[in-house]
Amino acid sequence: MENEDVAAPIIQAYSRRYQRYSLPAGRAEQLAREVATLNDAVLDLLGELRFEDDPAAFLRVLEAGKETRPKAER
Amino acid sequence: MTAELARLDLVSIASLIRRGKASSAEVVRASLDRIEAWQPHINAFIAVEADAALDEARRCDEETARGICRGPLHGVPLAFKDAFYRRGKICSAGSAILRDRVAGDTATVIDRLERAGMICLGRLGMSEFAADPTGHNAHYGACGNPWNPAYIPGASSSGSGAALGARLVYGSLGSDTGGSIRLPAAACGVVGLMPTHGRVSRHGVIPRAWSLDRPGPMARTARDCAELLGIIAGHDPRDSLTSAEPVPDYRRGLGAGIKGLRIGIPEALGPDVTPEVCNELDRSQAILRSLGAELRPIRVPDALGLFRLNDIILKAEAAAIHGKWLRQRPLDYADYFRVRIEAGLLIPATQYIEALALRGRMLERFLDESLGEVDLLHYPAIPRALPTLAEATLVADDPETLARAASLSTYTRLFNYLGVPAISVPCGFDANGLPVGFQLVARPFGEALLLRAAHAYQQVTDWHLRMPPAPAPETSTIHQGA
Repeated sequence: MENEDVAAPIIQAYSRRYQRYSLPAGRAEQLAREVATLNDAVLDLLGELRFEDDPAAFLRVLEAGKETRPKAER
Repeated sequence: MTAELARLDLVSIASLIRRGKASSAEVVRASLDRIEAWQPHINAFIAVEADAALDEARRCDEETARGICRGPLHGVPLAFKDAFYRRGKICSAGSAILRDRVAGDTATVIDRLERAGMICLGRLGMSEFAADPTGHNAHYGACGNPWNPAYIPGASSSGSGAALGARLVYGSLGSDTGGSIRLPAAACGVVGLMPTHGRVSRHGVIPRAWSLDRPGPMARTARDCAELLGIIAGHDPRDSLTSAEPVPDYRRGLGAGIKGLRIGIPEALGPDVTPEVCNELDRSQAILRSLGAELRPIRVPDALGLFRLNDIILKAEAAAIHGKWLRQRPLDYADYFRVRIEAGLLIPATQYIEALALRGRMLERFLDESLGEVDLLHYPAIPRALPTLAEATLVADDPETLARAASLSTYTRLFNYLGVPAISVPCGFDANGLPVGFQLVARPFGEALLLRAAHAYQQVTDWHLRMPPAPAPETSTIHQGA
């Protein structure tokens, strides 16, 4: 059995409870596939993540980035 | 005179009005005449505020006669994507849910433009809640491309791109979460600048995704964008994410040229960038080189990987933003919009946080590996010829249609994730006569450099001066929804 077939009933039940709305046939499987693809994008990069990385690190790099001159000028 | 006024850019028309060489009322009336002629064909406006605009223009002219100038945009007609709050005015975000909702506040950027003297002509069309790159809208009808209304205008700031391309307004604002400024700019033959994350306030702008949204200027020229950015940029106590970085005078250095500037060009682009688009990109690179820029091949990030990281954040935040309405009135959304939001309900919280946590690391790598040896990156805006609105029809139960539409933003979304500024500049036309654009990307807070390079390019090219032919008065090509 494919992963999306396993996930579909859970997604369907969640949607009924959260949105009070039944997903049309095939939509739950479609959503399961989409979320799996997105999750893979993070899983592929998890090796890059260090303990000290938090969401605020982005703002620090952004602020520092304006000061950093291209290598050729350093 | 009407046609001649339409040919002028924002900076030129502002100068004429300020010096009393043209009246604001005359300029506003000319814009309203063009809107009347074009609107049945491209559906750029959700609502036109003709009487209010003319009243305000007359007040501006009275002030001019008394020697009063409100600011650099004194009496100049603009219009905005319907996602920017103006106190007492409806702000629908292109949705049925907010169709009658009156804003109780004014967006910081609108407030700054009003103080600079601009006159608002109305509310421009957009994708429902800024969620689609084609220009379809199930509630207000699709927006058409002024160069051929059968084709998409790019989105989500579709009305902004179309209105500028058709010369209905002199400047506009878009908001960019995955390409929503740069895509319509490229598709309609105008300039669109997505500023650095935190450079421009988001206060009073209906969110698509809090961590990614960036309001920015759209106009006919880089010089116009410099004028608008100088007015709207800067710290805002009502948006805690805005930077305290001082705002430079973006127009001051525009004429300095690009001799010696190092521009990176990707060592390789994906197979989705068509030969036709590659040819236009090559030609624009040759022009930049002829102006004295040094072009160097560089490694660029995995666009699709960063696209997906952007998508995780976008979908998760959008699901949270729309959670209440998804529960209370799910059927008031267009089906194809809701299906995109629904995926966000299912993304694990840890992966959302990891996508955010990876952002600094990915930016660091981009600055080092891609911009480490160069000042700017030259990049595609839209990788292929624009589809027609019919070809880009969105069907919720056909994920292929949604993926195909989303792929228009493959080369824009990564820069939302990375937080860096990027500008889209017109550089030619495809075989169907639709505009093609390229992007330039800079380091954080490098807007002045982007504008200088784009301005230098526009000084020796005329793509931005070309106007689409006037529509035939007896026909209407308005599109009804997706």
